Amino acid sequence: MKKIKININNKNYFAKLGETILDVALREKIEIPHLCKHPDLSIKANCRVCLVEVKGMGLVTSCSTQVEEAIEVFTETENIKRARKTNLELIFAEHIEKCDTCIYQNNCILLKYAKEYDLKISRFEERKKHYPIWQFSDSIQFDSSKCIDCRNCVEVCEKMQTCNFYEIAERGVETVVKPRGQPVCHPELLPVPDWNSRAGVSESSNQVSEMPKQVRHDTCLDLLNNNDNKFDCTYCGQCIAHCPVGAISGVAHWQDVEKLLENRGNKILIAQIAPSIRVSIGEEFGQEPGKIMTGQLAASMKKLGFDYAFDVSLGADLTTYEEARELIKWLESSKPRPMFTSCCPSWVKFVEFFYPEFISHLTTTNSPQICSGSIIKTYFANILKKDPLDIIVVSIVPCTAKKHEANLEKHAKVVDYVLTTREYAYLLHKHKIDLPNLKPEDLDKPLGIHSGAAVIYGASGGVMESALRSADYFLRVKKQTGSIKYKKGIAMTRIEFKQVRGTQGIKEATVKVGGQKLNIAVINELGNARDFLEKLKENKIKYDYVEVMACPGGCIGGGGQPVPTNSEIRAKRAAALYKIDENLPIRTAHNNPVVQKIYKKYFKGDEELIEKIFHSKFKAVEKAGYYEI
Amino acid sequence: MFTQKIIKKIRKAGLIGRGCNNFSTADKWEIVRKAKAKKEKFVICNVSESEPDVFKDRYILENYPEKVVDGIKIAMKTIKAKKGFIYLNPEYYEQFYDYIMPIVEAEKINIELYKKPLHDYIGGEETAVVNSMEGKRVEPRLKPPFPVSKGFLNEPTLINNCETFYAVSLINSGEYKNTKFYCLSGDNIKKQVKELPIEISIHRVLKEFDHTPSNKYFYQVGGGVSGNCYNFKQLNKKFSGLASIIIYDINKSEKDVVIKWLDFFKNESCGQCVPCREGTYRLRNIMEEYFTTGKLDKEVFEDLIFSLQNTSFCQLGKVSANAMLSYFKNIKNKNLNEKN
Repeated sequence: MKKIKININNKNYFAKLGETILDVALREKIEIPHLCKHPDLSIKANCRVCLVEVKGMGLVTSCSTQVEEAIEVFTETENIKRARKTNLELIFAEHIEKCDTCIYQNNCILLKYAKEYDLKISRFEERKKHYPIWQFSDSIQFDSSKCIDCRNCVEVCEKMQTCNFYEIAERGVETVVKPRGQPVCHPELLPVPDWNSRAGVSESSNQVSEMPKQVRHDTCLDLLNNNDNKFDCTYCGQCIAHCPVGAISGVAHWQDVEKLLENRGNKILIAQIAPSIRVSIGEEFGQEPGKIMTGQLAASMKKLGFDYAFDVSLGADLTTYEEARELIKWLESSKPRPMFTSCCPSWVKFVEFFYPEFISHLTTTNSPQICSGSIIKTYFANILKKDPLDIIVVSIVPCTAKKHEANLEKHAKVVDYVLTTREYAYLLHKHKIDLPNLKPEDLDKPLGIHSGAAVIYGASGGVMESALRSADYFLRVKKQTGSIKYKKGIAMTRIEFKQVRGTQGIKEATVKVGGQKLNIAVINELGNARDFLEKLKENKIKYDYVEVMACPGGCIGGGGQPVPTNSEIRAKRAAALYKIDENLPIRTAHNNPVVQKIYKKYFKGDEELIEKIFHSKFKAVEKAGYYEI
Repeated sequence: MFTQKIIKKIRKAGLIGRGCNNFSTADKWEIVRKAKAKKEKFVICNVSESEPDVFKDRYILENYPEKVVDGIKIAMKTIKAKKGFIYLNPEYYEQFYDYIMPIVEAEKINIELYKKPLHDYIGGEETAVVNSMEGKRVEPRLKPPFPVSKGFLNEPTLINNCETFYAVSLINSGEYKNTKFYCLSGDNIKKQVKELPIEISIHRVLKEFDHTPSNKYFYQVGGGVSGNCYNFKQLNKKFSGLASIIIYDINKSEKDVVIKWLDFFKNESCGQCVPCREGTYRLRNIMEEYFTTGKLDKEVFEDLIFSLQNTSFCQLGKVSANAMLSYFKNIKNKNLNEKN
């Protein structure tokens, strides 16, 4: 690409044609404040904060202005300061500061700018005071009184995930970014919150309505097609990860967990960490992405007061073990191909809602948190000689959809609470636990023991690779013994399947496992999944086994992960997981001694019990929508 | 041959687009003609006209619909577009459908009439036109790319105001006489349209409308509600911008005129960018307070206007304070800064 020279603040820099001024500035560590610009998304240039002055052009937004040969750019003139400050103050007046309950309080970009640019944050009266909070299932809350109308959520939902759950209604100062269509009945509170009768402030009124008014269907173009019921939320949380101001968040469970930690009565409190959070949580404490913090996390759980610090990775090994066996049975059966993974609850909801015709393709093996939760409340409860009802399981995960999953009736509350990475970090901050400086400890036995195959679940391709490792093994066991049960003494030949690694949206390969050739695909982001399913529907492609993760890069880019996120950060987190795998002595699920023990001592070959504990069914679902709280 | 000839003729006539962008029509046509299409190019005749005091397009459609259709036909031939659209605001669509369709059918050209969903101001901005036609939210797009290279369905699209097509038709047939349409309206003034020479003074236009300027009135000139206000002594300047004059009673309540303008921009803002969405609303509110209490925070007033004029996403925000500022300066001879 052609390189050109540009001048910023009287210093020369090289730039590539096609780059924007902001691209160059960010690379050269020249500070330009910006809010709506996100590297995963298109340029919208609506916050008008990243202003710079270009000689001959006046004030321009640096995110949308491409470099040209020899342009002279200034980033801190009086004009810039004045306009930037005014626009930031206007934005501040859209965002009700609820800092005391905001989990971004240590990481708030608005507060950072307020300090750096000497904003008068109350120069304009707050205008969204009584804007409502909307909730999507048990997963996500959208506090419209904090929304700055940047539309990142709308874009990520529409373009990355193709779920189109958000819409932009109304115009001008009454513009409101909201979940599509009308709210549904609150599951607990009847009657329906009446959107139509809210704050009936007429249009000619001098005050902007304090609450968004009735959505004028006749004027809301997005609604003209009346497609509302075709779209729903899958709880992936990418809207959260791409919101610059924390208007969208996971439904908080930390208060309940905190209460239990303070007053547990006769309950046993157990925390379990998902694979990917060990390489991302450090970011909440100023560490580089990819910093491995397993030991510190184990220590932190104990310090907070949990009785046991376990690992969802054990659940991942159980999922792999079961799923590999299911795959082999599937391949021998007349069931429709491909078999899809189902450990990502957002992907499952996507299939159940958008593509119910593919439900029969989903593996029935439960996800890691459900597998380990089940084992804690059965196998481990037996060991403790405790009533499962007296055991509280808290998952700490990179995901908001896991909150929804844990609450599904079919999973019978084997997981009681789900904290996101951010939420757990917030809890640690709140209790003045400085994670990076904790003395690393081991996770507790027995359910803290896991293989390398489990840890890579956190990266796109990880589930596939783990399952292939074990499928390879079981296929060879089957050749020798005729059954698919663990057998000592069968050598393992293949560990790494590097074709399935990496952050591309769709990875395809033909791999050889146990002497069989399998056509596989690994997909991340629901938009890519939609493309894939559409092609599958037309019978254009043939696959045996396909992994799908809703979030970019898999769980390491999950909706519950620290913000900011971008491809570079995600790549660093993923690389760290593969490093953990490489350094672990046990790298396959079936070689995890705890897994072997559970199958041998607890299940004792009782396939019915295995089915009951590790498998569940799916069903087509109707639009769940959202409700006001 | 035909193509080069007509563009040459348009250039020779010095035709400037009759929307409000002041862009050379010949240049625009040339760019679209040269642009490469993936599948096909389009011509759109913009009859969004959604301001209360601008109604020249209505007049043209009432009186010369065949010329407009002819102009579109010439454009389609020139840029090799198979399909043309007439983008009409909802009222015009209802009113003119039966006028225009017989002409289109008689001419056997592929022109579709498109009914704009809302009677809104921003829906006339050319990238908003494209969004609207694609069923998207009606608001301006980031430029570049411009519609001339990536317009409707991402194809090169020629969008001109309906008067421009009218003028092209005249140029092609040799009847063009350097005229354009002027609208007159105002307090106790009958709405009128006249075809008069371009490049004449405001004073002359008023004279043609049989109005004698006096200190009883003030005048808002060019661009309807975004036009500048002048007193009766300032009317010797050459007319520029969208050709409309609004005559106001000089004694009209200061509050009424200013709030009417500010309301217009507040209500017509698409809500996309911060300075316009928030700024037009805040400016309106502080002015309302000023008229009620006499108090105005000068710094806030100036900062809001600075931000609107210099950082708005599109022209709507940029011009939203023009009328008010020129009114205070030229009519009220008032420096708001002194009235704190």
